[in-house]
Amino acid sequence: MLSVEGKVDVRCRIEDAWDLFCRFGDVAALIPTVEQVEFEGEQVHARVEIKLGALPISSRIILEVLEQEPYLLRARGVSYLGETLTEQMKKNIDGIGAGSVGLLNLRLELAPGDKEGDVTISYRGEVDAKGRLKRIYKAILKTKVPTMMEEFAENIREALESLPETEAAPSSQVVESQPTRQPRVQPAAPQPQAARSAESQRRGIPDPMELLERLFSWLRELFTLLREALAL
Amino acid sequence: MSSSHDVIIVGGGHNGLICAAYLAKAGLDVCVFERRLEVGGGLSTEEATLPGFLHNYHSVFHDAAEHMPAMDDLELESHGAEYICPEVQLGVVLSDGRALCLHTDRSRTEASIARFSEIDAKAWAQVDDDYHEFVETLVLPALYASPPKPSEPLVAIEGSEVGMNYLRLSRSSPADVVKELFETEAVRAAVLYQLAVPRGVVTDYGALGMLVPLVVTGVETSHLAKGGSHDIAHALWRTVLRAGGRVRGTHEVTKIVIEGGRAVGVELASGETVVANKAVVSAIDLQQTFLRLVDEDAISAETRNRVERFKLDEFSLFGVHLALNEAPRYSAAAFDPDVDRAFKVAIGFESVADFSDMFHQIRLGKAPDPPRLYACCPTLHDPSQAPEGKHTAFCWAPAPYELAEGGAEAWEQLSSEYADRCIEAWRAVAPNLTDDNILARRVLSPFDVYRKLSSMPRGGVFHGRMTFDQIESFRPLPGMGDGKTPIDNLYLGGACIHPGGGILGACGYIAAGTVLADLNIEPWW
Repeated sequence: MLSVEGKVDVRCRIEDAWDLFCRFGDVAALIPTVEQVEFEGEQVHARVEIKLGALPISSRIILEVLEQEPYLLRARGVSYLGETLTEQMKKNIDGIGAGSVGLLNLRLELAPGDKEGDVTISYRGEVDAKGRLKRIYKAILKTKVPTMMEEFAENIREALESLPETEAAPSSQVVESQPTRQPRVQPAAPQPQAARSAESQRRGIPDPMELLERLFSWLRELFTLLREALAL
Repeated sequence: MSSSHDVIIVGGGHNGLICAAYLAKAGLDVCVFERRLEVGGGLSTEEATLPGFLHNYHSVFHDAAEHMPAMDDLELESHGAEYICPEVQLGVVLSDGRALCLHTDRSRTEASIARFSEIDAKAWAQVDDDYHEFVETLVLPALYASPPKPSEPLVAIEGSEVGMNYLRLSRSSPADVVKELFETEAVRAAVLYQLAVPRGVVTDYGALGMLVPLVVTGVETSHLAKGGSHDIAHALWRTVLRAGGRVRGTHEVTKIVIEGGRAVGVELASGETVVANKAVVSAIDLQQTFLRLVDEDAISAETRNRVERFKLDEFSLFGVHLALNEAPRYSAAAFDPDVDRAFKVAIGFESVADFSDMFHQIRLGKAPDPPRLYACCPTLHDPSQAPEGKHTAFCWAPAPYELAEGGAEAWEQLSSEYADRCIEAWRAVAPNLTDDNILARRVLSPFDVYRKLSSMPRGGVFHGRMTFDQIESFRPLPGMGDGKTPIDNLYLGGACIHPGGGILGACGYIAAGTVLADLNIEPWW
């Protein structure tokens, strides 16, 4: 088990910081080396390219939120080498965890900073390697994770400090207009379900995006069934 | 008489001992059965010439010793294992009096190469920049993991232009890659030399070009076991004993007992039957395991056929071991003094063509003429291996096991004369190797290697050819890369599985992990 933790002070309102944390997809996009983010139900699927010397090594991360209460965000996930294979896509995190993967646990917590107007973000990342390629994973994690976590914290700080000092604009719009690392992320990436549901409940209105996504999800399942049936 | 253990290990070579130590430390009752009096297999050091002169008969260049998990996991240093890493790793002496040296310090290597070609010095640095982290982080740990599925490395790498170029290089032969990367024949030869021994990779083997960065980056460095290679065997033996395991020398296993499709024990040459309650790990070679120790009907005809067709090493090593008054001094030291303290010295390997010529002759069953040599003087780095002020040295000439005329037994007639020719070739570049300087010599032909170590069929020190179709998850056969076999409770743990030969300690380590996984025991390491 390798754990990395640290704190970073950010000059912003704690509400703005929390608003970013509620858009977990945006947080995932701030993880260094993330090239693409997609959503699958409650899960965030990210494609990551870790550079080992000149060679970019492609891997996948699947994250899901375990806890998202002001001002604490906990997520767990897995990473595995290579692109998403159909076989792996069908598995859930526990299923993949039994194979050959890196296991991730992320914890982000907000607290008022020592200086007025500052927010202290505490981060802790735990990673462990399991399975057949454990030794390879350990080597990669040992080499890359400490600097990645530091960069991750720095990216969060940059994202938050680049927010315009306005209280009126909904923060989701603000972030969309200030996409620190947004260009490398699929532009159509919706928020994860948990975060959006919370937002809908706060507003007391039905979330049309949620309904739309359910429809798309149903269509995807139908398409998969058809494809499998045709393959048979 | 019958006794029983949880796990029986067949063969006390270094992989068998490492496997035994890991399993014993996991709480299992383990017993190793070794045919010879001494354990260690290729970790052999003998006073073969004169009293006090220690000669390492088989393995000497222990690559990646600093990366071997067993060093830390089994605390081998506390059991007496100690390694020396010479700063000058290789000297390539040329017939024109020049020498090229590879150092553990990259800047010194680049400076040496720059004397031949500034372009190649930059190319060397570029390969190191591009691949060092990749080799260190991904390739080397992969030696100590069950082999990946064939698609796994591809899907991880194919997503970029750089990755695709790496995959292109991977499909080439080492000779093609060095020709593409470097313009100087001596630089090309230096890389190919490191691949043939101790990795067993012949220059024209297809799809092994990815091993070139492994050499250039210098992540794996050759180490010398202090006190002799056999000291590592002793350290491993002590580790097994202290973990509660047993090692029984002079007990040859003559049969692996299979009942109901499961390995349940072994029979010894003494007639004794020993029960294995949980597993039998064969740390000897593939063909002895399945063709000699296991009943014919225990595996399918197809598997048996594949075992029979497993390709053995293409070359063996003809060794000449010397007791010396003084260490070899090379004429090329006038050009680069570092060659006199190089761990390995390449003699007769000046170009890609030299390798082609040598392997062509070997494939025809001829003792290469001229002999091309891997020369080494261990006492330069560890004086304890000879009486004070004296030295031991040896040269290996890659050679065929079977000679076209007379077969393997013909070495009995040829050995002395061929040893003279090896010394002559050596003396041509190290003039102080005079008859006066040579106090005694001992010759070990490929035929001798096999006679002594039956797990090295055809005198092959790699336990099977290191070709693309016999490495990673295909070694020795598809599905057996992590040591599992078609017979329940029977595992392979010798150099015939991934990642192959050499004192890497990897095969025994991987097999131990596989056994524990099948027993649902969480590895302690």
